[in-house]
Amino acid sequence: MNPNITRRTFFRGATLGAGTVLLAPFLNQLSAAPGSAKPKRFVFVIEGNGFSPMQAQPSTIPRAKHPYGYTNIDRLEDIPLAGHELSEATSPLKAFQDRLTIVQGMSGRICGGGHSNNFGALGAYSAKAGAAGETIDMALGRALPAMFSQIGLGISDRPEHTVIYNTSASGPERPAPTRCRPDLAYEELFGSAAEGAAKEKFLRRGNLLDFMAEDVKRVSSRMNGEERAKLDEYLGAFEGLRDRHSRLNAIGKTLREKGPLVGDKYKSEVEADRLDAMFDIGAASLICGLTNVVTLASGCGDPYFSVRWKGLGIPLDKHSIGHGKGVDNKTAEELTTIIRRFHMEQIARLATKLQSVREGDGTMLDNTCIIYLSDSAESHHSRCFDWPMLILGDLGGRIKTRGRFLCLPKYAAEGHKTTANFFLTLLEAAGAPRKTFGVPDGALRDVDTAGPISELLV
Amino acid sequence: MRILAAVFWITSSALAVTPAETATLKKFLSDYCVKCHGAEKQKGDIRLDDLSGDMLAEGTRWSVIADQIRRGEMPPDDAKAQPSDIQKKAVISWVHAQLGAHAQRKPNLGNLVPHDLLFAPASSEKSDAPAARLWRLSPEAYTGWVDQVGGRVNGIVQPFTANPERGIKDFSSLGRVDEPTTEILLRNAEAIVEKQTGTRIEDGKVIGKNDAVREFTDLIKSDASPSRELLTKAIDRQFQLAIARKAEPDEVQRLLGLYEKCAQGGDHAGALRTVLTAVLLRSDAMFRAEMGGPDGMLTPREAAGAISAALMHKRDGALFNAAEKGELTTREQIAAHVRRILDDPKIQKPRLLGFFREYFEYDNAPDVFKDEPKDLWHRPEQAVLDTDRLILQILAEDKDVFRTLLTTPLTFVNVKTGKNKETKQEEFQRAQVPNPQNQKGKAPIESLYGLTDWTPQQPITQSPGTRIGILMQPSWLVAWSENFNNDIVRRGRFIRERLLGGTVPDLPIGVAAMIPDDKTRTLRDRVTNTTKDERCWKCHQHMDDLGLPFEQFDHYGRMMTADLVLDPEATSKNVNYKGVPQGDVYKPAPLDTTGRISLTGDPKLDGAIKNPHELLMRIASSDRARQVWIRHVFRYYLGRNETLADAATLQAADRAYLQSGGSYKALLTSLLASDSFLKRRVGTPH
Repeated sequence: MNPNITRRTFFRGATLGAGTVLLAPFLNQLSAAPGSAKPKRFVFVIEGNGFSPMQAQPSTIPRAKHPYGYTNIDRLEDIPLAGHELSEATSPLKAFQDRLTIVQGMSGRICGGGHSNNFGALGAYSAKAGAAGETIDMALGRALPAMFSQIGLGISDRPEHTVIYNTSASGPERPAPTRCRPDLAYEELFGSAAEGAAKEKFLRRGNLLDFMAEDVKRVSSRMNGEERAKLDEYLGAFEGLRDRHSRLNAIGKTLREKGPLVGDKYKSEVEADRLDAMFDIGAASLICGLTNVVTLASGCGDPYFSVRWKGLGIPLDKHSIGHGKGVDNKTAEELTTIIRRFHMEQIARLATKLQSVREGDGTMLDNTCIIYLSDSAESHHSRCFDWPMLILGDLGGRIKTRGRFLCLPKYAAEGHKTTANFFLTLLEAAGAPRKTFGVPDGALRDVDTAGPISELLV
Repeated sequence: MRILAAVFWITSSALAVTPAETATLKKFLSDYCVKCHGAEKQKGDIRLDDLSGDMLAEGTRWSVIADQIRRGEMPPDDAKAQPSDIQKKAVISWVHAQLGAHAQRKPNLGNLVPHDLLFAPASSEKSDAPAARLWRLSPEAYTGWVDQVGGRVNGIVQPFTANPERGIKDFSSLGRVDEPTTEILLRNAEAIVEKQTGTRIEDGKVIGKNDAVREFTDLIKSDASPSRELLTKAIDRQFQLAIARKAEPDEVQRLLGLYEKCAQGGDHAGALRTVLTAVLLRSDAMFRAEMGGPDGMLTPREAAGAISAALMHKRDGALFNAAEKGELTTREQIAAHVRRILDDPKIQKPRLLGFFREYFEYDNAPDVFKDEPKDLWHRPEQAVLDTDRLILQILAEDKDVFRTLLTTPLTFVNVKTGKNKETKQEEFQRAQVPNPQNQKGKAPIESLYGLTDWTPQQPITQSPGTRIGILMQPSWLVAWSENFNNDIVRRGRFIRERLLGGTVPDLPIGVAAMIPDDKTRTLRDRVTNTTKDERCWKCHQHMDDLGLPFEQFDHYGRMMTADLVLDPEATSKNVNYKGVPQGDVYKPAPLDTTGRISLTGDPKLDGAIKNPHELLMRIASSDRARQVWIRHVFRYYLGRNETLADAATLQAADRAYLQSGGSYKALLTSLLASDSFLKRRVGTPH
C-alpha cells in the first residue's frame, strides 16, 4: 500500500461505499510525473440571497423581456464581451473582462428554491434534503487531490459561528465545513509556520496527535455500526491533523514566505473584514499548494444568510433588503449592488494575486477557474428558473471563457441546460468526466439535458 | 417492466434489504399499486413506480403507503387484484422496521410511526431495547463541561454547532466531530490546561494561581522531573475533572509513556501539559456512552451521565457519587434521583425550559425580521422572556400541564425580576421602559395584552375571549409569522405535526408556492384561493384550516377585531402637499377566524371551529394531542424518535402523567426510569 494513503483516507472511502472510486484519482495523481500536466484549480465564490439576471447582464447587451426577469429566448446567444460594458454590479471585474464568461439561462429547478438552496446549490439536488450527496466543489477536490482536498471558508450572519455546514458535502450526510473565523482558519492552515521557532512545542503537538489517534482507535475498534463511524470520524480527524502536521512542517518555509499576513481583520467582528481575510487565506492556500479547490461561501445557507454589511455602511440585514427594504435613501437594488461590487472586488483581488504568481510559462491564474454564483439562484426567494453565473479563468485553456456572454435557451426550450450540466462541464474540464451529477429535473423529460455544456468546452 | 428496475434503487444510506424482501415488495407494488400509480397512469397524481427504498428520502411516502394498506383504503375495494393479509402484513412490517431504524435518527421524522399503533395496548407487549449508542456533547453541554473542568476559561471557542433545523436540536445520531472541529477542541483543551496549570511569582517564588489545580501546579513549580506517583495523582485528578472517574492502570501507563516522550527535550512542564491535554480530548469526554452492562441496563456511571445530561448541562455530583457507591442499579433508585433533582430548586435544570423552547419554538420570535410598526413598540425578545416565565410558572404549579399550556388565561407582561432598592426584596419590575422621545406615538408592550398601565401584580389573568395559552402569546405568534404577514400554512403545520401527530410532505419539486401579493384582499382570501387548487390541496388540507383561526391576530401578535385590506382610493389620495405618496391606507374588512380540524383519525377532534380559542380548547382535551406532546417530550429527552418498541414506555408515561393529575415531573420521572431510557440491547459489540 502506498505509504501516503493513510488508514483514515482508506476508511473514509470505505464508509462512503466508494473506496475504489475515491482512491483511484489519488493514485493516478501520485503516479503522474511531476510537471507532466498543468495544474488545475477551482475557486467557488458563492454568495447568499440571489444574483439577479439583470445584475449579471452587461449593460450594453439587451435582454428579452419576461415578467419575472427570467431568460426568455429560444436560441442560444453567444456574444463576445469585447466592446461591451459590464453591469455596474460586476464592473470591478473589468480588468479581467477578456477572461470572463457570463452565463445566463441555466436552471436548477430540482433544488426547489427559497431563501437558499443550501447544499443543493452546488449539489444539484433538493434544498430541503440536507447534505444529500456530493457537491461539485468536493467532487472536483476529490479529482484534484492535495493536502486538503477542498478548503471551505466563508462568513455566517453571526460572528460567533466558528464552523458551519451549509454549502459543501463529500457525500450523503457528509457535510463539509465552512470555516467562519479567519484567525482560526489561519492557525489551522498556516499555524506551523508561525510556530516554527518553538520546535519543541511543535514536536509535542505531533506526539499528542499520535497518542490521540491511538487512544481513540482502541475504543473505536471495540464498536461497530454507526457508533463506530462516529468514533472513526474523530479518529480520522486526529490522523488527518497528524498527517497534515508533518506535511505542513515540511513546507514550513513556503508557508512562511507565501502565507497571508495576519492583521486586525482576522479577529474583526465586521463581516466585510472577515470575508476579506478569508479571500486572503483562500488565495494563500492555493499559492502554497495546500489545496486545488477553495469554496468561499459568503452568508450562504438557511439560516446563515442574513448578513448585515455594516462594513460597507449598510445598517440593514440582507433578508430585509431581499424583501425590498432600503435604508439611508438607498433602494434595495442599490444596496444589493454595493454588496455585489464588494464581492466582485474581492474576486478581482484574488485573480490579481494568482496572476502575480508565475507558473510554467504563464501564471497561476491561467490554470485556475473562478466561479461566482448565489446559493439562492436568481433572487432572494428563488425559483431557480434562472441561475446566472460568472466564470473567470479558463483552466489552462480547457474551458472557453475568454470574454463571452453566453445566454442559454429559456427553461424547457430546446438546448436548455441546468446547473447539473454545468457541473458536468467542470468535471469534464478537470479530467474527471461523469455521466450524471445530482438529481435530474423530471419536468425536463422532453429536453435533452444529458452531459456537459458543449459550448463551454474546448 | 420499468418498475422492477426502478423500485428499490437502494441508496447507501438505506438499511440492507434482503433479496427476499426486495422480491416481495417489488411483487406487491407491481401487482397491486403500479397499475393505477405508475408511469402510464397516475391516479390522484400519485406515482409509485419511482419509489426507492431509502427511508430518509422516501419515509413519508412509504409511511402513507403502509397506513393506507393497514386501514384498508388501498388497494380500493373495487380493485380486481387484492393482496392477502399475509402479503399486507409483510409490507407493513417491512415499512415499520425500516422507519424504526431510520426515522429515529432525524428530528422531525418521528410522526412517521403511526400514533394509533404506538398507543395500542397490544404494542406495549413488544419489547426490544434500543441499540447501544454514543451521544456527543451538545454545544451547551460542552460549555458546561468546560466550566466543570476548568472554570471560566478565556479564549474558548464553541466547537459544536447546533442542528439548524427547526424543532428538537440534539439527537444522538447527529453529533459528529470532524477535523476542523477537532482542531478547535485541541486549541480549547490547551487553553483549559493553560489555566489549570497557571502560576505566578510571589516573593521570588513560583506559586500556583488561585484558580489553578493544585495537583498540577505543584508539579509545574518544580524544575525537577516529577515522581511517577505525583504524575499518577495529576492524571487521576484530570480524569475526575474530565470524565468523573479515576484512570485505570493501563490508561495511566500509556499517559506516562506520552509524558516520557514529550519530556525528552527537558521541558517537564510542557510534557505535563501535553498529558493533561490528552485526557481532555478523550473520546469518552466528548461522547457520552450508553452501552449498557451485561444485564442490558446502563451501568451506574452511564445512568448518572444520562440523567445529568437529560436535565442539565453539567454532571450532577450526587448522581456520580451514588454510582461510585454502586447505586443506580434499579429503576427505583434512578427514579428517586430524578425526583430529587426535579424537586431541588437549587439545581439548575436548563433542559426543562429547553424542551418547551424547542417544542413551541416561540424563542424564534426575534429572528423574524419585521419593520418596526409606527404604532407599536415591537420587542420580540421581551415577549420570549415573558413566555419563558409563564412556562416556568406552569411547571412550578405542575398540574394538568399540557392543558394549561394550551389554555391558560394567565400571562406575564413585560416583566423582569429585580431588587427593590428600599426593601431589598426581590420583586417584579417593568422590564422594557419606553423612552417617550423615541417611542412617540407607539403603543407600549403592555397594550398587546389589553393593559393601559404596567402592573407588578403578575401574572395577569386575561379576559375571556382574548388570549389563552402559549399559542396566543405574542412570542409564538411572531415566531410563526412571516416578515409582513401571518404564516397561516406553517402555523397549521405546527398544529398538524406537534399537536395532532400528523405528517405533511415537503414541498414537491416543481411547485412554486406563491401567494398573490394583492393587498386589497385579506391574507385568508389569498391563501385559501391559492391552495384550494387540487394539486396544492393534497398537502394543504393538512395545514391551512388549522392555521386560519390565528387570523384573530396580526403578525405582531396584536388582537384584531377586523381584518385589514388596502384601500386603493384612499391610498392614491394619501399624498403630501407636493403630491408625494405617503404610504398605503388600509380599511377594515370582516374578520373570519373559522377553521376546521380534520383528518386526525379521532372523531372527537374533527369538526368545524369558530376561532382559535375553540381550536385550542378542543385540542387540549384530546387524548391523542396529549400523547403526541408526550411523544415529543420523549424525543427531546431520549435524543431520538420513538419506535414501536417504545410503545410500553410511552403508554406508561401517559399513565403516570394522568394518574398524577397532569404532572410534568411525574411524566419525566416515568420516561427517565423507563426501559427505553435505561436499557440497551445486550450483545451490541462495544
